[in-house]
Parts: sequence; C-alpha cells; structure tokens
Amino acid sequence: MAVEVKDLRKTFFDAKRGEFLAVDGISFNCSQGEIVGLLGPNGAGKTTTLRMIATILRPDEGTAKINGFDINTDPQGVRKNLGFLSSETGLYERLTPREILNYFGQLSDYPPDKLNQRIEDLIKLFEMGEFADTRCERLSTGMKQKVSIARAIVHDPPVMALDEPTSGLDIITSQNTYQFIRDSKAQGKCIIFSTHIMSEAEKLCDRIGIIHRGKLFAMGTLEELRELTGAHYLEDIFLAIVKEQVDV
Amino acid sequence: MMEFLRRLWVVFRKEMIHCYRDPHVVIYGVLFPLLFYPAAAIAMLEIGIFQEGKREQETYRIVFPESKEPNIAAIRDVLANSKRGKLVTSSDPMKDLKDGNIEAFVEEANGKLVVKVASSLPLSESANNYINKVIESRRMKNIRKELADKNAPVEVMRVFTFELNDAKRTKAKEENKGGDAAGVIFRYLLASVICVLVLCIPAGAVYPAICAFTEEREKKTLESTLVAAVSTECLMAGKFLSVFVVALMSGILNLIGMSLVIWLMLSQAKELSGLSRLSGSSFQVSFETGACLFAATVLFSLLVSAMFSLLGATTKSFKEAQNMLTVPLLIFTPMPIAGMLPGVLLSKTLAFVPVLNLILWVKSAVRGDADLALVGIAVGETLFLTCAMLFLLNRLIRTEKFVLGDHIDIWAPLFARGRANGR
Repeated sequence: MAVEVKDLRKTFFDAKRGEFLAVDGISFNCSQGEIVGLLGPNGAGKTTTLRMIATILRPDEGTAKINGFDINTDPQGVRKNLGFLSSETGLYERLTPREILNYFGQLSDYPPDKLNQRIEDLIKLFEMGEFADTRCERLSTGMKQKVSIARAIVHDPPVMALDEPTSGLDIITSQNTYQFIRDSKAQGKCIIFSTHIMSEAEKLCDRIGIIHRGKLFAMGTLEELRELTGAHYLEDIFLAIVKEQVDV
Repeated sequence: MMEFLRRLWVVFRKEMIHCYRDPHVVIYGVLFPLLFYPAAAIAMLEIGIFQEGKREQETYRIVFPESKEPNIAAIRDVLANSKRGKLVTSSDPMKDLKDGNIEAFVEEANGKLVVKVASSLPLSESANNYINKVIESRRMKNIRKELADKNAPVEVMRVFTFELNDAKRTKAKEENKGGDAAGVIFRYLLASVICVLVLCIPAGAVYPAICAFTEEREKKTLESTLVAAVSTECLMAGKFLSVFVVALMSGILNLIGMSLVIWLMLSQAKELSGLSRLSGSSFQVSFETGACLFAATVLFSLLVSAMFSLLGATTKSFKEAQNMLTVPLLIFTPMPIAGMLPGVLLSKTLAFVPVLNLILWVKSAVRGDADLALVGIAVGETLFLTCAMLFLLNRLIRTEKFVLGDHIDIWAPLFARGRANGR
C-alpha cells in the first residue's frame, strides 16, 4: 500500500466551542494507481486529515505511512515521497514559476542533473511557457493553480494529497486539473484528494470515503456505496449514509 | 552536514531573491543609506556655503563715532574701507536702529566702545559679529606690537597651554596626536556612527523579517513551505540568515554613506576654518577601533535579526508586523542618546544592558580605554540573547499555533504550552 492511514485522531481548542474532535479515528488506505476521494461538507475534517498526512499537523493519536515512511517518526521521509497541494494555493509573489519549481526541486532529493529537464517538462505539461519567467504576483488564478500543482509534483512523488484542488477555479482550469489527476493515476501514482463537490468525486475517484463531523462513515467504490445505501446518485448516497450514522 | 549546508544555501538564496525584489527592502536598505544620506549632507553643505557666500555680500550700515583716540580711529578706518561696513551718520541713531535704518551703532563711553544692535533685525546680529571681529583684530595687532616693542617672544602668550596625560587613553593619543579640536570632533563623530547604526539597522531589518516570516502567512504560502523536504532548523536558519545579511548589508551601506558624509563635512570644515593645516593623523582610525565598530555592527545585526524574525513569525499580516516591530524600534531609540551622554561609560552594570552595552563598547574603543572583561560581558550577552531568540523561533515554528495562525503566543514554546505540529 502506498498510503496506510490508521485511526487518526485530532482535537482542536476553540474559545467558543471548547475542545472539539476534528478527526475521529479515521482509517483507510490507498494503493498505487488509485484515486481515493474524501467527500464531505465544510468542516468535516478532510483538510485536517490531509494536513496530518502531509506532516503539517501532528495527530493526537494514530498514524499514517506514506510509501513506508511514518508521519510521526520520519516526517522528512514522508515529505520527500508526498506531493501536497494545499487548498490555500499561495505562491511566493516575487519569484517566477520557474524559480519556485527550481526551489522545491532543489530541496527534494530529485537528481540535480535531471532537475532542469523535469522543470521544462512540467512547464510544457501545464502549458506555462508564456508565463514561466513572470513573477507570480502578475499571474491569474488559473495560472497560479497550474504553478501550484507543478510545485507539488516537481520532485515526482509517488503519492499525492490534493486538498480541494479545483476550489475557486473556472470550468476550463478545473477540467485541466481533472485531466492531470487522471494522467497521474495512469502513471501509477497514488492520489488522495478531498472535495465537497459530488460530481468531482463521482468522475474521478476509484473509491470514495464519506466523511462527516470528523468520522469516516463509509469507504468504497461508487457501486459498493450504491449497494450499501440503495441510492443511485452520489448526493443521495452521501445524505443516506450521513443521516443513518447521525441518527444512530 | 554537507547536505544540510546545501539545503541551507537553497533556502537562503531563495529568501534573498524574494527579499531584494521587495521595493521596501531596496528603499530602506539600499537607497536611503547610499543615496539619501549623502545627498542630504551634500545639500546641507551646499546650503551652508550658499549662506556663507550670501553673508559675504551683506553690507552693514553702521553709525561709528569720530574720535582722536588712535585705536578707535584705526577701527573706524578699517570699517570705512571694508566692503561690508558702510559708515553712515545719524542725528538719532537709537531711533534709526529701532526703525531698521541702520544695523548697528557704536558709541564711545569712558574710553570704551559700546556696540548697540537690535537683535530683531535680520542683519543686526551679523553686524555685531563683524564689528567685534574688526575690534578683536585690532586688539591682537596692538598686543603683537607691544610684545615686539619690548622684545618679548610671542610664546609668552601661551602661559595657559597645558597637556593632559591620561594613562588609560594611550590608543586615543596615538590616533590623535596633540589632542587637537578637529580630532576631538572626529572621535565624537566616530563614536556616534554606532548610534546612527542602532537606528538604521533595525529600519533595514524590518522588511526582510516581514518578507521571510509574516508574508508566508499573509500570502498563504506557509503550508507549501512547511511541506518542503527540509528540516525546521534548516528552514529557520536560511530565513534568519537572509534577514541578518540584509540587515548587515543595510548597516554596511549606512557606514559607507556616513563615512562619505563625515568626509564631506570634515573637508568642508577644514576649508572654512583653516583646519587644513592640521596633520592627517587627526582623522585616522586604528585597525582596533575599526574592528570594534564592525564587530559591534555585526553583533547588533544578529540581535536585531533574531528579534525581528521571532516577532515577525508571530504576526499574521503586514500591518500587524509593522505595529509589532515598531515596539523594539521605539525601545532602541533612546539608547544612542543615553550612550552619547558625557560620563556614561561601559561599567559593570551597563555592560548587562542590551544594545546600550554595544554602543558603550564602541565609545570606549574610540576613547582607547575599553575594558576587555566588560566587553566580554557585552559580547557574550548579545550572543546569548540572539541564541535564545533563535531557540524560541525554532520551537515556535514547530508549534501547532504557528500553522493554524491564530493567537500565536510568543512564550508558548518556552513554557511548552503549545502543542507541536507535524514538523
């Protein structure tokens, strides 16, 4: 398994709510060449789960292994094997896309003699040629998203964690992102991505995890989820699972 | 180790590029020290020369008594034949003076000359100075003549000349043979350089600190940075080094700018006051003094960079960072003033006051009486504070609150109150 998540748990403290459970014992796995989607509304715990997988946050309990590297004991190893695309896709404003790719490429263990070629390939892949040497502060949202994705995968990681990768994007840029995810799957990458858009999960995911109030209520292929709930559309499936679990 | 250094260089290089492309850094760190200060000094000197030239062309209307007393008659002749003095007659000189028709009038009373002026008139004070200068010149001429008539050597006038021998100020004496006035002024200027740097280096370090730390959160690049395959120590060190280097560069550029200003001022002072006869040794800086000044600049840059990096890391926005970093700037401001007060010297107590101890170290080095033990305390304390702040910064970057970005508690890492993040 490229990703093994075991019983992740995370609490936060909020002045209004006090201590609350953001992620409550989430476990799943994802193999190479597979796309797993975490589907849930805002505040469900998707981003926190991905942040723990990306070693940005430390879990209170549980662990995860990325390509064999444990997030608690070898976060540096995890970071070398993971491409993380945050939902907050900010870029260093006064650097150019080429400089950003070069920076993250140099920090990874990507062979230095092949790095320039890798950057050129990514510029070509994401059609960034026209703005590769323009400072990021002058780029449009779509251009920035392309740079962000390229930044996340510049070191050619076997695992990718994408947090709402199409959030705030127009339809054309979203389609390009979908294509990139499909292409990555074809290359044998393991992809975990979070979304609250049902159609997105339906189109892309091999398996879908229904997450709500920090708990993973169900995980399976679309067919398995249909069988489980008797509903056809993902929206109905989601509501059926969540309603059942909340009622319980 | 080599791998750590390679990654450190990558982070440092990126931060430097990102920092020097910020117009704030260029304006406050490069343009102000290199262009603004020398340009302002040149402008002030030019205005001074212009005013001096204007004064040369001024003429003063003076009512001066006619007298048979030879000295008064001689002074009257000098004034009458000079370009600036214009002798006039008046039936009521006091009224004319009040009305501004004349700049001064001189009357003879009991064998003395009394100069009367109206200080509210623009040229009256200058007229008074001019008349005094002519009278003084006449007095000196008389004294020389008297001495010559009595065959007395001119040296008899030097009865009050004395030499002060201070056993502790040997270096200063070497640098300033004879203890001339220009040398004293130069030493004062040299000691005040560190005071100006105490104000300039923080101004040069504010924006690099904001660039390296605050901007990560404001521009939402923090998560991307934290998932980079680099250790927290390396990340922090690379960012801190960039702040330090920009602050130090700003300090060095300020030094260059100020050296230029001091050189211009001294050149002008030499021209105007005839100090050009003085030997060049009056304006020499020994290697030890120069090294002390540079070392104090480096140490202060380290301290300021660590402090601003730590404070910058606790803030969420550009505006908040500016407000936060203004506090140490305000704390630093009175230090140079206190340091330059006469009698305030590096002592056992003051050696423990941060920043002030560095100013007093340079002051004592310029005077040539630096106490090595006290200097050691000042240097050691500055390094200790720098390390303590970097330690706090390193722990702060590892806290959960640093990632989440709300209500960052600067003391949390010290007392282990904050939960650790994934790094």
